Amino acid sequence: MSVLARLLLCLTMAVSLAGAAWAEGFVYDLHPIQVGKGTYVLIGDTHFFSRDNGGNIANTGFIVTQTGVVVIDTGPSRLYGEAMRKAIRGVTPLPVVKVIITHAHPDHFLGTQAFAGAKVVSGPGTIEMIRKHGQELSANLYTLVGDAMQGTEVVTPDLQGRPQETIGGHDLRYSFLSGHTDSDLVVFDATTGVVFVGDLVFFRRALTVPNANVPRWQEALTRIEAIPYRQMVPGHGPMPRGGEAVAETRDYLRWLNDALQQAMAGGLDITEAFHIKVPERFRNLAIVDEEFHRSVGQLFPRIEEQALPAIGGGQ
Amino acid sequence: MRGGIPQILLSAALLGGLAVLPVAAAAQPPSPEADPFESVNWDGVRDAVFGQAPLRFDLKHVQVEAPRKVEDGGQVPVAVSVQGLGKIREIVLVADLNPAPRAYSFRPIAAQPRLATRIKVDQATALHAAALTEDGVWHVGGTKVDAPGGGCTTPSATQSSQSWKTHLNAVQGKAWRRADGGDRLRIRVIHPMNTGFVAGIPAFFIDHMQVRTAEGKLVAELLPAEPLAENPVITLDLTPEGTSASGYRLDWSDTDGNRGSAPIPAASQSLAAEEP
Repeated sequence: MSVLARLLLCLTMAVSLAGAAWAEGFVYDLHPIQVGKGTYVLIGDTHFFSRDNGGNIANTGFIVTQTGVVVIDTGPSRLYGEAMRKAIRGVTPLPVVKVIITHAHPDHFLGTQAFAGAKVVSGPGTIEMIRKHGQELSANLYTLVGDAMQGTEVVTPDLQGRPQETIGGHDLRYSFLSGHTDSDLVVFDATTGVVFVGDLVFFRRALTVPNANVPRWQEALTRIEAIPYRQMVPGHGPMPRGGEAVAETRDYLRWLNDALQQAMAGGLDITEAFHIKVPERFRNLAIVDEEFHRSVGQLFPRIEEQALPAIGGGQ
Repeated sequence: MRGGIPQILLSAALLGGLAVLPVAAAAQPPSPEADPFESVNWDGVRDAVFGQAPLRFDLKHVQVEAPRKVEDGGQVPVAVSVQGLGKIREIVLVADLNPAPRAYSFRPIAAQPRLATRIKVDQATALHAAALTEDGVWHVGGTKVDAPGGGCTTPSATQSSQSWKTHLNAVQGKAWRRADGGDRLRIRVIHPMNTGFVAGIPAFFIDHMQVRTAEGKLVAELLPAEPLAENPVITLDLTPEGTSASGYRLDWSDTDGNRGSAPIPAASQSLAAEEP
């Protein structure tokens, strides 16, 4: 190859590389995995938000019905939503007719913008939380993951009031639960047996608890166990075979709460509670040390507020 | 005026001379130790808070513990612990890059020289704790925290809900008996602890807390400043001599002159092992 030809080739490569990076920004690598008839999930990274994963840490999914696609959760950003739309297009030419947001955490709802034209629904508490804190959650995620958030705007869902509806031959049943947040929507497709449980269930990944209500979460797990599902899609982590993800979530949640309640009752300060050892049986949960640390910071002050005896003052 | 130009020249010469002075002077008195936590603001904070008092770094005996990663800059848990330096007159905690760095001064009169509480941190910063020994020397330790920002310059949660107006004064607390015979006290006071750095919200914070035994003996005194977190929570350990079988009394006052007082019942339970 002549020097000139080589130079030209290099130049062309440099220009096209720069052009690609410039035009597309962060690239989400999404691969739909089929978990039931016409039902797919996009499995997120099990680590914390980072520039490398662009905030893609949650599982999202979609159901291809006879009349259109139902999307369950939209990921962390506009770019994710667009990549998801493209992934759906690779499976079906049918339009997205409905978007369901399980709860108001930023890794689950900030890609909604990419589905303009579809009806976006969620539980009442989710709408309220997105309306109140959506901007703040989005800004915070921008700080954590950077460029991947470019152009992301908050879309507030409309109310989903009905407990059941049929879309394109799929019998969808909604349970309005709470515990992970004030409002957690579980979507059970009775036609396929697939249940999308949002972040009420994690699998092989430590729980996050910034808005958790432990007793309600435990109740919600009992409600989920009563659903006659064939395949569960947890909010984070790989697909479980049976009920093991619920059992794991219940076990970790009970341990976490008991450990912090006991530390409080025993007179420990939060700085001492950070040193509590995570039991061996939870070592297989992704980023358990990091999440335990966050959980202490979030839960311990609330436990203190409830458990320290009132000794005076107030009106 | 005729003197104009020479005056400017004179000023310039003076300024030039002053600028050179510190360089020349630095060779004579022992230069202050470099900050092991590489805080850009340490020299200024040291001079402002400790003046000319003798001060030395002693990371072995003065330990500061704060989470490696902070999510809520308004509630950053910080434990300061001093060991092996004998009687400590006072412990001061500063967050170097806060608009008002001093978080508190703690006088462990009949308490162990350690205190845990939560503070506001306005941005990623070094925290320094200094313990004053009987010989008048400040012994300094510290740590670094990475915080998202805005702990001092965003309104407190209770400020926006105004709930403190009905709860101000409410105190929670409890005593536990430690294995060494001294009591641990944990105290929480409802107070917005406004720093004054948020537009339209004047400074309003608890600046004095005293713990006495039921018999009236002063056993610990805390002088909080702007950075102490909203609804402050304090954990302190009394010495066996400072411990009372009849319980304690907390008295506090704030910058608006509000005062409060609450009895802390005697310990009825043992402290759990510190590291479960």
